[in-house]
Amino acid sequence: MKTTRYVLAAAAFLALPVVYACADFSSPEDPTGGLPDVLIANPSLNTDIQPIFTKRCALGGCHTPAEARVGLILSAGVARDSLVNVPSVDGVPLMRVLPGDHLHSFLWRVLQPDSTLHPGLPRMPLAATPLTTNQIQNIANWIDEGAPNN
Amino acid sequence: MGYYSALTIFAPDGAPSPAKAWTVDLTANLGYVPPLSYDQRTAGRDKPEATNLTPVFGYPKATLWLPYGLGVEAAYTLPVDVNGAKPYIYSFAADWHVTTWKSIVLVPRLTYTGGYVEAPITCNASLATSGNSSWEFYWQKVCNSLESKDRFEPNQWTLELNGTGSIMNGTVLPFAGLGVVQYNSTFDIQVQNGSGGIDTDHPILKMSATKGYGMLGATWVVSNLIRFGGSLFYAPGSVFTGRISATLRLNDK
Repeated sequence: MKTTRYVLAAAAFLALPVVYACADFSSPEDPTGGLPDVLIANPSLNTDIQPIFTKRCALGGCHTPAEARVGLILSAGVARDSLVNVPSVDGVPLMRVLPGDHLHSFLWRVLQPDSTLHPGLPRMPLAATPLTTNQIQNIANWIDEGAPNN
Repeated sequence: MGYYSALTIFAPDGAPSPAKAWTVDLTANLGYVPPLSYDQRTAGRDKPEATNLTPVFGYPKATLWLPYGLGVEAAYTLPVDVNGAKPYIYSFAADWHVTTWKSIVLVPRLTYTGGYVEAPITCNASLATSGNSSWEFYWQKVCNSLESKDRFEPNQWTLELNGTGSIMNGTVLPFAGLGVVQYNSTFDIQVQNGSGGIDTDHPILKMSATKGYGMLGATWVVSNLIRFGGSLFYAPGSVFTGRISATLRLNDK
């Protein structure tokens, strides 16, 4: 009788991890990507836009000098030359950035969740949390201001 | 990375029960690897990492008991390919039966775990058939349609204090222990480039941290020769799991 109790206790003990075993951590999503999330009317490339490119786009396997997917490099110092008045090589036939017109700039389009704006290409950043509405709008404002090198 | 590191902590698989000098324990250990949830696998991104490759982690272990209550242990995880994950993990431990307190055998234990696990975590072929256009594009353009050879490298020291009791005329040895681990783990994202080499543009993630953990379990002494162990293992903030073991004790006369 006593032995049976011990066997049952052992079985219950061994069943514990089967029922309750778990990874004891969470991975909360940060929609801002660790970047400021405020709307800026006249954003600066160096202060407001490049940090977005650096943190969300110029990553290993993506738009770094070593990889330069679709020939696009978004690292500091070279991003503007890679964007402004450079034709997009994927998707719709638009300039990546057409100064003064974000609606006809492929960079702005490819950030949108609406896939009809960038047929053939998934939304960027690829397989990652999208940029926030403010971050996308800041890029639009920078383009509309003439995409200055400021 | 803390999750992987905690899973490879070389904690006792049964009650640390010192034996006479030159006794050898041969043990087979099996630990449960709890699956990660979708949120845990995405780590704040859209694309899940292929982490749920194996439900168990096992290794054979040999222990040699020496004079003066000392023991040394060595374990090596057999490099068996499970869903593309292949471990090359080894561990060493030194035990010391320092004293007996109210019939509880106190055993401090120092361990080291090194080696690596190679697995297609970042770029897994399952992305190609996921039905998600973003992930399929990622597979083609970032992964170059090749599985990655990511390397997780645990490099960790632990220091534990275990206490082992004895009930049912010595046939059951309950034990409990607390430990501290110093992690120095790395996760090397090894995406293959189109020419068969490794794309060096991906980062090597590093983790250095000191954390605590605990375990609770018992060993059933079937005979002088055979014993079975079971334990619960908890590393707060990383993992809670269970381990079982079977031991052949040789030369304990």
